[in-house]
Amino acid sequence: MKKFFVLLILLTLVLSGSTIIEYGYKVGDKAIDFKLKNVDGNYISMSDNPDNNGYIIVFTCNTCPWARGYEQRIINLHKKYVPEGFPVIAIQPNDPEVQPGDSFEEMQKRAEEYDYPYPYVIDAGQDITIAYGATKTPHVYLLERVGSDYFVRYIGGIDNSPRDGLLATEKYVETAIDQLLAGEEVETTVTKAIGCSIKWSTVAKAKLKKL
Amino acid sequence: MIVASCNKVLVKSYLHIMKQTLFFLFVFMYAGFATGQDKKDIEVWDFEKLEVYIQASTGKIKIINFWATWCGPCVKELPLFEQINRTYKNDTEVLLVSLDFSDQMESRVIPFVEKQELSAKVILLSDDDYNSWIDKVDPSWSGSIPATLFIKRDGKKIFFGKKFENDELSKLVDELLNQTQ
Repeated sequence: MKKFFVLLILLTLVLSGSTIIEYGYKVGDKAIDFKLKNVDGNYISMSDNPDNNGYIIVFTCNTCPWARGYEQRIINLHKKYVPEGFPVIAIQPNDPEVQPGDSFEEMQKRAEEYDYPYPYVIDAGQDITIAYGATKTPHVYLLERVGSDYFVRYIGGIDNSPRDGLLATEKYVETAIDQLLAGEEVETTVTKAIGCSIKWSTVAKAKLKKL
Repeated sequence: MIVASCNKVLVKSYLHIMKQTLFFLFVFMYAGFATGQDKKDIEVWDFEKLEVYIQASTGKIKIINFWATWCGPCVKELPLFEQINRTYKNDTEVLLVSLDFSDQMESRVIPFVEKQELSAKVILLSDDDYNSWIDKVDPSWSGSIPATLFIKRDGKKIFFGKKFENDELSKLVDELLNQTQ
């Protein structure tokens, strides 16, 4: 009997270990729009600006050192690609109950202090984070608009130099956008990067288990 | 005469106290020196070196945990790995792979490891081109930490991109040990 329980626990562990990235979008999938509260109090949707060519959706937060390390580069990405119709929307995915440093008030402070030129919205119920399949911060989803739909063209990291952007030899997001703008296929559609795990609420954890 | 011998005794006991004091002084100095030398020496590895370690057969179950000093969930589960390292020393090999940046070795990593009194081997993986190696650890790993790779005695890998709670880890290690005996 004891052995059976051990086996059961082991099986649960193995399953939860391997299914962790089975949910969420893959490249080519249609991404849902959202209506999330920005640090200025307004609600933001992608369809607010229906003429954009797409969006750089960045799941990021206040508290993760990797996210903070990329903060300036996210600002630069936005400034560089707003004229090309690819603005940034930064989504804070962590549950503030679990990670108080990522509360809405703390987000407001950080956005003001670092003068974010893009919306910094909170995914209060974590449903968008689950739908997209973000697992960490920072985690980028590059979306291209086709008609009134948004399609995932790239998922992953920002570049290959977390410590110092100047040393990056590959700028994944920039390259992908440039290829889209040139009417080409995105060559590198998925990359992986180390990041901080998403801090899930108990409710969100239960939802994830069902997926 | 009596006075002189008294003096002699006094001098003798004085010398004895001096000797003892000096002895203890030396012991303390040596201890201080020794702990200074004993300061955790944490190697900096690139992924190539980690890959060699992953592939090498040691006859033990290898448990490779990816963490960082500022990663809350990682720090919470570290004692579980520490416990495994102490309890199953003969059958398992725990490697704690810090993903802190190497320029924070002196300011963060070494003080943390010393404060936690970690007995398990700690290395710092300084290989910033994450995309080049995350899949080699395990294709199912998204890159979020904590994450742990188990390598069984037969070389088969099991990967967990999650934080272990309570007795989950020891139960898993027990099961792996039973499997390979």
